[in-house]
Amino acid sequence: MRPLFPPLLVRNIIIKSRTSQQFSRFFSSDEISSRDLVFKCFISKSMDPWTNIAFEEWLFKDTNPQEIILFLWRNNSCAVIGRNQNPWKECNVRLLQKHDIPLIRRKSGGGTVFHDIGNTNYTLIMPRIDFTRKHTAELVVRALTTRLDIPAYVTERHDIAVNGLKVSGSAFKLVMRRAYHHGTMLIDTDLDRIKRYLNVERQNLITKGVESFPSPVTNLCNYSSTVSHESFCEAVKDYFTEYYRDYVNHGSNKSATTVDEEFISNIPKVAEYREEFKTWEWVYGQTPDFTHKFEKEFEWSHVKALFESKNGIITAITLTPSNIKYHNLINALEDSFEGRKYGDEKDIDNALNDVRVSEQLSGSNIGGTSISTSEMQRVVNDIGKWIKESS
Amino acid sequence: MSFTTLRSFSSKITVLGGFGNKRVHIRPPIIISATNFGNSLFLRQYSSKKKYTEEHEWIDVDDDGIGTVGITDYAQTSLGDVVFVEIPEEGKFVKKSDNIGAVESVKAASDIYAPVSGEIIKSNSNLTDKPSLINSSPESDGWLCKIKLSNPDEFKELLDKQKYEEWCNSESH
Repeated sequence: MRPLFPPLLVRNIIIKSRTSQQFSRFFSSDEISSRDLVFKCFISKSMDPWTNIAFEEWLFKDTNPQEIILFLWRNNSCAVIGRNQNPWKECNVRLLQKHDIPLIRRKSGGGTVFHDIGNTNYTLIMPRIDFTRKHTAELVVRALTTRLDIPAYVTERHDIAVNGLKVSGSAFKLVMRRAYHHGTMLIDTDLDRIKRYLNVERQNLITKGVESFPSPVTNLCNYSSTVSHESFCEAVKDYFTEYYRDYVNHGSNKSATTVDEEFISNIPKVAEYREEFKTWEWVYGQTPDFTHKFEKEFEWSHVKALFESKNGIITAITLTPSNIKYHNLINALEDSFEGRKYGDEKDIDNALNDVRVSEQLSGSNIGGTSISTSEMQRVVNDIGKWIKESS
Repeated sequence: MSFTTLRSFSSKITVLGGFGNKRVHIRPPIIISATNFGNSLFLRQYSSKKKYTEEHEWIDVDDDGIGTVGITDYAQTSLGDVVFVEIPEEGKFVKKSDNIGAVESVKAASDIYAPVSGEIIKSNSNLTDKPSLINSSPESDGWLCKIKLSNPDEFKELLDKQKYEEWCNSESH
């Protein structure tokens, strides 16, 4: 492992190296005066994932692009997928819903992570000109090694690891003027729960977009008896404030701003972003195109299903029963599913109900192969239950 | 892998319409109505056909005033392996600098902006199946969309090849 980039702590003074082109940008005095950068730090007291991610979005979109912002936050349990991922491929959506655990699609790239209060998140927002994939992770590593005595390092994937095990995952977002790097930090997370909610066997779900790259993980608490959310926040805040001390506003803003529900309630845009993040259109509708194939042996027939979806909507569905007797009923089901939301219980119920009603009206004898109402109900119920379980 | 910075508007370099070289300067100014598509004068207006933006998009305008848009080779190198492209929506009217699509590469989601205003008349659906076209052929098969320009003056203001290269050089140090 080559040494991390040069700023070295000598007698508590950061010697600012100019050997790295990227970082010399931060230190050239010309740049300081002409660019007028300001460093700010926010620490959230809220543990509501929607609120925190909406506040992060507000910091990124609605504050001055010349501000370099460090934001530290943690969430109650939730699963967070990358911008271009398929929730059904990455998580056990059904189990998350059953346990009332939010599923969040973030705006940055990368893979799926599971948050709980044993995990602390860091975000560094900066001008796009200063963005590199390594920068933030390297600063966080310096905070861990110098302030908490944890032998962490940055990996090739720009994650942070200790002893070969990942403790922090990274993701990035770049827009016209700004960029951010945000990452998780496993401090004392229930690692078994990660597996429970994120391990899904969906080999027959073929999706465009980005798949997660699972890595063995560990908690920082295995390497330090003193590390906690508070001590991690303190270490990172102190290290970043020292690193960016030339941009700390006249010494007046040296301590972090505490963000709580009351603070956030004064920013209407945060509530707006929060609602946007919660919409079906963003969480599920943003899913890249995919197909999902599954099959099941029922008492009345063997059935194969093939779903095709765009923007989370079922664009086509093919159900193939081995028993020809149900051909017409199955056709009616196929028609009814088209245009519905994939995996959405309410939409599945609506699709089934429409078929029940129309089949009862027509007597289920289109094409001459009549089946009784109870038989029709049974097939519709079985198919419904199966599709819910499988999606 | 190091991610070379993608500089944006925050720069101090002023771009004055991209008429930086002498050859362009001695040409008489062409004054033409924005709606004169198909007119022979229009052809002359786009005489310097391919131009660039500071956000590293290129646009190549044909004689009918339709511009093919993509991201530059410099940009794809900086981004690294592209694994997903959200292609621009066909039929949509966009303003210059509107967000028209996105790419994901090495865990970074990057927005793509319209270099000019107009209607998106076609998107490159090949990118959905093969996002790596952006890396292998950024300025040809990896094109993103075709825009019917609604304000050709905007095209004139973009960077020519030389100015764009200067811009890239200024970014890399």
